[in-house]
Amino acid sequence: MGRVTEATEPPEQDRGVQLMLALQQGREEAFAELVEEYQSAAFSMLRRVLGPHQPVEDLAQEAFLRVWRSRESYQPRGRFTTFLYRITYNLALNQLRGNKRKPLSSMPQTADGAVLEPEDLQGAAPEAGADGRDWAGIIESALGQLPENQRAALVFQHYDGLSLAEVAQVLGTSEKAVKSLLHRARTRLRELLQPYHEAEND
Amino acid sequence: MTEWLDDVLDQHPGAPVPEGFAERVMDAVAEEQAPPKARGHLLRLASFAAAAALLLAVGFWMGHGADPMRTPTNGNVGGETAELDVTELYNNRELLEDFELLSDAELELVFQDESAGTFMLDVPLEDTTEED
Repeated sequence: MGRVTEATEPPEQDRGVQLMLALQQGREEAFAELVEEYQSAAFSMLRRVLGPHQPVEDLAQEAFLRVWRSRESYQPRGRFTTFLYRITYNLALNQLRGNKRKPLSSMPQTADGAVLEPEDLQGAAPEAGADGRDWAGIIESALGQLPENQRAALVFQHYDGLSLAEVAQVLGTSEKAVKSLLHRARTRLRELLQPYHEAEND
Repeated sequence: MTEWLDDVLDQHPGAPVPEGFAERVMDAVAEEQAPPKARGHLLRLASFAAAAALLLAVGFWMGHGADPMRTPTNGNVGGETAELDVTELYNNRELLEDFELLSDAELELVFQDESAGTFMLDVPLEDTTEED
């Protein structure tokens, strides 16, 4: 999984950038390769930002269609993932704002389908032996309790390996603002997840 | 040494890509690139022409072929008097009574003598007699 990284390679050496430039030159098969290469990243990002029970596939498809439509005007200013995530994140934001009345994440569930109530994240520790599947639900629920911009900043930084500058570019804000978002997000997540962490280590 | 939070966050597996997703994206791209269907275009053109012809026909009918929207009246529109046939009034006395239109003293005097024949009355529809 990603950590904070700096973009070390020039854009022209980025695989996605190369494929976009090939597409610009008329090689349409490059777009199919682009989709294959980056579809997993797009899906995972959308899932972590939106939470479960959201139209992730529809949004991911629309994101790639927008990449296709922008092929003639595309200019490689950074890594392709930054470009893709900017498009995808805007779609996710529209989805979130359209679902204001709906809770972002459903109740996390254990492997046997029992519901972990939200208050479980703040007090009672889960039962011993929580498996990976439990953790996914717990983490999703914890992420869902963050404001959308904090959640997005953390997802881009931790899971997608974007640099502070790249996160700022995707979110349309400053690096200083991103640092603040990350600090608040991680503080809140520690509060929410610490009981589970301690229970697992007991 | 990584913080425990990072290790915990790493346990979220992301989301699997549904099978055939890339193919569906390429199908959507192909659909966007397809030229607009000529058949559909012609159909739309024909519908528009039919609607325009129908509008013209209705307009023509309304202007020349239809019955007058209003039946002209014998009385003066907005006029202050009406010419009334006493015989007709008498024959419709019951109806007039139902509508309480016989409280007028002049009308009552007229109906006392049905043989008076046609009698032209000046019945003011509005009370225009005002003392100066």
